Amino acid sequence: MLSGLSGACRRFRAHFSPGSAHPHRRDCRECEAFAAALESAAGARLPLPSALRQTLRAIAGPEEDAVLPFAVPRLPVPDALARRLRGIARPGQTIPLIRQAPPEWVRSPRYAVAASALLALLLGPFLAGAVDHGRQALGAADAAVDARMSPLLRRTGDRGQEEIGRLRSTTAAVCDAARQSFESSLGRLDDGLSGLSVRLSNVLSENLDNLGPRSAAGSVRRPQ
Amino acid sequence: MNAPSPSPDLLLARLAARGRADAWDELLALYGERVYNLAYHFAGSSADAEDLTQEIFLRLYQNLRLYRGDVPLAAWALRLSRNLCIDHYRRSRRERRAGGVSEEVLARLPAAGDDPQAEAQRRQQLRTVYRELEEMSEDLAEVVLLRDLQGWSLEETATWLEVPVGTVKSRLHRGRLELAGRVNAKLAAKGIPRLPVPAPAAGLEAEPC
Repeated sequence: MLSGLSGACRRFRAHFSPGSAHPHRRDCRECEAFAAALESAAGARLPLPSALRQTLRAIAGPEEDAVLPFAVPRLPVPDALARRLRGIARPGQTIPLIRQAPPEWVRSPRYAVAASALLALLLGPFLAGAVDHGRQALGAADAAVDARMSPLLRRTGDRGQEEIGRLRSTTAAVCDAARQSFESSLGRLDDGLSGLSVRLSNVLSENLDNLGPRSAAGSVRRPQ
Repeated sequence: MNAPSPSPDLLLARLAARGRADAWDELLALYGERVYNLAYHFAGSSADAEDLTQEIFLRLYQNLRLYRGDVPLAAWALRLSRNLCIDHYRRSRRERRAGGVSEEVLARLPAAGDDPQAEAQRRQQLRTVYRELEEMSEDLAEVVLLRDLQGWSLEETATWLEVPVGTVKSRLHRGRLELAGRVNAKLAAKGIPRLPVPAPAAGLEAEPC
C-alpha cells in the first residue's frame, strides 16, 4: 500500500498520530487527506442524547451538602439556536446576526438629559433665527392682511354707519309715533277719569244732603 | 519524529479549529447545553440567552487555536464565556426582572412522586433559592450557582473563577451556609419545609485575603 509513495510520505504515514502538526502534512495534499481521515475516525464519538443525559444526571443526584436536595433541571438548547451554532463552523453558511442591545447612551436617562442640553445648545441659534424669521413673516402677513382688509373694513364701516344712521332715524320715528300714541291714550284716560270723578262727587253730595244730622253722626265710625 | 499523541480534548479542539464540522458538532453536543443554561441565568430570558450563547460559541471558535490542553476543554471553554456573561449581566441589570428562576426551568422540575403538595414546595424552594442568591455577595453566589445549581465540578468552577480549588471549597461552604439561612428564614414564614443546613466546616482552608 505504501509502495507508490515517496519516502517522506511513507515516513509520515508510518509514524502519524491524530492531531499531529508535522510540516509534511502542510506540504502534501494526499497526506493531509490521509491524516484527516484517521483523525476523523479517532475523534468520532457519538454524542449522548439529551434525554438520556437528563436521566443519568437525575440518577446521580446532587452532592450531599448541596443547597437543594434535588437536581435543578437543565434547559435543552433550542433547535433554532443549535442550527445557528452549527453554522459558526460552516464557512458557507450565514449566521444570523446577534441582536445588539441598544447602546448605553440610549438607555441611560443621564445621557438623555445631556443629549437634550446639547441639542438645545446646538439648536438655540437656529431656533432664535427661526423666531426672528417668524416675527418677520408675521409682520409681512400682518401688512398683507392690513392692505387687503382695510379698504374692505373702511367700506364696510361707511356702509355700516349709513345703515346705522338710517336705522337710528327709523327708530326715532317709530319711537315718536309710539310716544304720541301713548300720550294721546293717556290724555283720553285722563279725560275719562275726570268725568267719572265729577259724576261721583255729584252723586255723593246728593246722597249726603238727603241724610239727617243724627243718623249721619251715629253712622260715622271712628277708626280704631 | 512526531509529538506525543494529544489528549482527546486537544484533538477535538484542533479538529474543530480547522473547520471540521463533525468536531464542532461534537463540541456543541458536549457544551452547548451547559453554556446555554449558564447564559440563561445571566441573561434572564430565552431570547437574550440565545444571543449570548451564540456570542460565546463564536468567541470559542475564534479562540480554539489557542487551547493548549493544559486544562480540561470544558473548563477552558466555560472560562472564555465568563467575561461575556458578566458583561451581559451588568449591561442588562437595569432591565432585568427581580432575580428568579425561569418558569421554563420550573416546568421541567421532576415530579415528586404523586404528591402535588411536595411538588409545589419544591417549586417554592427553588424560587426562594434563586431569589435569595441575588441578594448575596457576588463571589459566594457565583460559586453556589455554578456548583449546586448548574452542576459544575469543583475544577471547572475554579477555572471559571481563576482561583484555587481550595478557595472554591471554602466559598462554597460559606455560600451554602448563608443561602440556607436566608432561604430557611423565608420558607419558615410560609410554613414550607426548610432546606438542610450544611454541617460545620472541617478541614476547609481559609480563603486568603
